[in-house]
Amino acid sequence: MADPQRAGAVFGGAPAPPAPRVAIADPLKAHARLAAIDAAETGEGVLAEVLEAMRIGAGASGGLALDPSGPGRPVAAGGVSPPVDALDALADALTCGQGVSPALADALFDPGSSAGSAPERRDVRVIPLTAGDETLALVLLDGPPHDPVSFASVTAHAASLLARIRMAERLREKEFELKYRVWELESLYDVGLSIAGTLDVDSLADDILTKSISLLNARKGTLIIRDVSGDGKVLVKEFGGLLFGGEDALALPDELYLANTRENRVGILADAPAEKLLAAAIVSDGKRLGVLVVADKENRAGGIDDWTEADKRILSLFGNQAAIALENARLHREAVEKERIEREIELAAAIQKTILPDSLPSVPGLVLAGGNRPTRQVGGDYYDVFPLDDGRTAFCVADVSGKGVPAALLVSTVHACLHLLVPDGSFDLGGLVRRVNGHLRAFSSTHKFVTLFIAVFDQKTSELTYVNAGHNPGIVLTGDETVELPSGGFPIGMFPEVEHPVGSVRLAPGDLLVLYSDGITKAVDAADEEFGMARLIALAREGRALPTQELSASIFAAVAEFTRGVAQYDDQTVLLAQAV
Amino acid sequence: MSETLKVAVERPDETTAVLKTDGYINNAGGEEIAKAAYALLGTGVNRLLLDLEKTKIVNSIGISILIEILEKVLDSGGRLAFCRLTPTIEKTFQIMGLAQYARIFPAADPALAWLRGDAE
Repeated sequence: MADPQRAGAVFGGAPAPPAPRVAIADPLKAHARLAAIDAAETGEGVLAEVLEAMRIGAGASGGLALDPSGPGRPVAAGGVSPPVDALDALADALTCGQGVSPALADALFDPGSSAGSAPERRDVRVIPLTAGDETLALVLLDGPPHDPVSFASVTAHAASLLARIRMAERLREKEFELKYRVWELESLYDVGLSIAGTLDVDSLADDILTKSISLLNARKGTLIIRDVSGDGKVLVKEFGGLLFGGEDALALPDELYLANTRENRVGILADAPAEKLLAAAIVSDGKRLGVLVVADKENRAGGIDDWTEADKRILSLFGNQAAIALENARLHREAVEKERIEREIELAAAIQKTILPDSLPSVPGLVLAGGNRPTRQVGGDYYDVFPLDDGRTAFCVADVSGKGVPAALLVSTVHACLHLLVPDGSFDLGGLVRRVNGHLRAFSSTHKFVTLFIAVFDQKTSELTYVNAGHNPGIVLTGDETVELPSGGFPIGMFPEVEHPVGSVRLAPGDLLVLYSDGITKAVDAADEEFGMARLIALAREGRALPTQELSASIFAAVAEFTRGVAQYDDQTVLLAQAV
Repeated sequence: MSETLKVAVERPDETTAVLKTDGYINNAGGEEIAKAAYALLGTGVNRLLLDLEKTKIVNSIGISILIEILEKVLDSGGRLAFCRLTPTIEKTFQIMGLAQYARIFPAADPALAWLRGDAE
């Protein structure tokens, strides 16, 4: 509240005679004017009204009112129009804690006196209007009040009014600040919702940049992030002009970066076209994905404030949101890719299911058994049996390079070729393989090829003729001997115009032919040791007396026992043919 | 969107004005709007429509200036409306209290009707 004792204080100079009065003091009217002021009002208009009331209350002819929180210049004048240089001198005097000297008083309240006439000495009163320790306004009157006691009550009324107005202002400021915090939280919440609701990193980046600039009262901002589409592409967003550019930005330190002076800047931000910078790294899973930089935090006076620790906290939150958005996009891409692979595997499995025989036919002179165990991906192996029209039996095992749908389609092509060319029996094996090779060369991918072991057994002669095009050696167990039927040339589909020798071997009753894919012999255990041909031959020899179906099952079981759950990367196929 | 705010003024009638903003409503942008608004208030206009179609970003200083403009319009016995705000800016105005004393419309026509008292 106002201090009536201080209200009459004279600042500066020797006691001066009272100034001539041109107004009549009217404290009641002064109170009425003060009571008419709307406490919701703010600013210069209120001070002008307060000054007028105090002039009336004191009976002063001239007065000035100042806001001590302002630049020191009077914000209201009544009954006087001081020149600018006098106002500047007043501001300087008050800033330095000096009083109002007689000369300054004359310059303020009687500016014409300097023209020659002797100035009239004025008893200028500087009346602080206070609330507690806070000075709310300074009122300068050009003379003492006519009735100091009554004027003291006017002063107290004015101070009380200003205190209420100041309190209302602060409440409004606090309310604004509170709303601003809600806005801040809502903005972060909204970005979080956007992240959950969209995978469009481009629009999220726009959102994050504009919200950062908006909430931090920045004039400019730049956001650089990479790996948006999974191909390492760099996305650049800017507002108010690019602060830096290129992937060099990603070399900024991981910690928050605050540069309120040019000396604090490092690296590529050294020449950023801004006064004060605040940067946050966008880091996900330990990897630098981008940088969010805002610049020049403006204030209401039109200047630029320093960035603060609170600002750093907000920007880091937005940086984290950006990192989450990128991580979400990456996880989504991976999920889509996984789904695509799973669909491909299902398709390949469906293709293979239609190609591999459900059961093997009974054919003259042979007992056949076989099976296939797809591993991680399907589509690599193929085996088949063809009872020929002339009583002979053809059969094959093939292994296609690659996996998945492309491999399954190639298997499908081989299957179609063989089913068209083989059943009528009017072929020679060398010519057959040459034709299939030509077809694959013409209609399949450059880098795809097939290893093929194809054989024809003639019960009448007990002769097995075969072509081994790049496949694992066939194994014939005859008596106590083991005969290998090695590859006689390149896999088919690899080169044009290839010739494969046709081999033959006679199968006596009880002799066993073992065909297989390298998924059997190259199956590995935890120590990366291969199952190998030796184990396969030993198994076949031990189980030679078993029905072929059981022997086939025991081979698969032995391979499974050997690998003990270690992931295998090749399909496993076995085809057994025992002469009877 | 321009980064230095521009204000275009239209006068549908003697007491109504439409201020179309293009750019960032920050300190400088807010002052541009205030300058235009106060000039209009001095000529008898007391119904203002701020069309923010081309403004995508606003900060707290810009909002405080808009509040000052709103207070002056209300003091003059007038009305103030906003139209064509982005969802983000509309939500911001709701949170910051601008929507308490000014109305927000999706388009200019209903806003002008409200300003003229043709619709409540």
